[in-house]
Amino acid sequence: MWRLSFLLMAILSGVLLPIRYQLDGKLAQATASVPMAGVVSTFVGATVLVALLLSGRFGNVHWAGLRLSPWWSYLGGISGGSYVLLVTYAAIQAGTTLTIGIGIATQMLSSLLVDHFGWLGLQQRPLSWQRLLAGILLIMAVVLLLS
Amino acid sequence: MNLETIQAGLAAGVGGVLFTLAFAFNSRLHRSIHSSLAASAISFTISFLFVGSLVGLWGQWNITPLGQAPWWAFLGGATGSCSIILSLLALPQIGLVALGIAIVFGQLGFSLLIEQFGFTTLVSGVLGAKEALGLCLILVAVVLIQSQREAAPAAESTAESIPEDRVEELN
Repeated sequence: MWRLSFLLMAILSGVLLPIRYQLDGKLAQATASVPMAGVVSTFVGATVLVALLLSGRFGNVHWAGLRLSPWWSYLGGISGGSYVLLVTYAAIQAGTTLTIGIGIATQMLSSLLVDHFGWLGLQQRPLSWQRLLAGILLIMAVVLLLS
Repeated sequence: MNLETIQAGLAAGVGGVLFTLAFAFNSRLHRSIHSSLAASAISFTISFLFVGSLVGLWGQWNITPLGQAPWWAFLGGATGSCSIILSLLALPQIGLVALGIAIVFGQLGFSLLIEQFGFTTLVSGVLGAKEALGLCLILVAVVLIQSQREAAPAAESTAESIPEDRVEELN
């Protein structure tokens, strides 16, 4: 039962994504502006996380590491913010299922590539035959979803 | 296939790649400060500053129409943050393999559900046989990739002692 409740929690974590696309999409439609919906969505998201962080219930932070972290490790917000704008636009045009399907496929494909070469300081995971097969299936899936 | 759908597909595809990059950058930041939540909070804050200044520079900044949106449409960002917190909590208990599969299952399953039953204010992606096959291939690929990852960490391990830096990738 204990483990099952955490499995449900993990599924719920996934369920929240199409809900997010729906809400951001609705906001973009109501304001007739994807960029303004992106501003609100990133603001609310950041506020929730900062509030949780300030509650101090989630372990200690090694703040001294901020200065030692490479400059590019701060680019996550740039790509994350661009991601929000792009998927909100996509969800309005093509619906959440198509957006999520294609998004998962290219996300997995690019992480296979990043893992294979061990780029960006990530642990290297060479392409095994399973990963290669998965990559081929993902490319086929994108073609099927877009054809 | 009309032009709008192709543009949307392109946007979603580039979005997926950007997500991988965001994950990689965030996990490097997480390694520096030993906290996945703090790394996510910093990243989300930079996202807001970036999108905000982009919109300002574009001259698109206009808060007046926000009044026309229903209150619940403002909660999108909060659902994104809750999603991250839930996966951080679940990871040490069920492991990376189950987490990754559960998240993708939840994303696609629930999206299909709301679109098939019309609980959407957006375009409802019509699901034909080709699209259904495509989604099935994605699920098989995700299981193939995830089944190769490390076995689930012990249930008693804390949120700080696990390779949680990989969790953002799964969202």
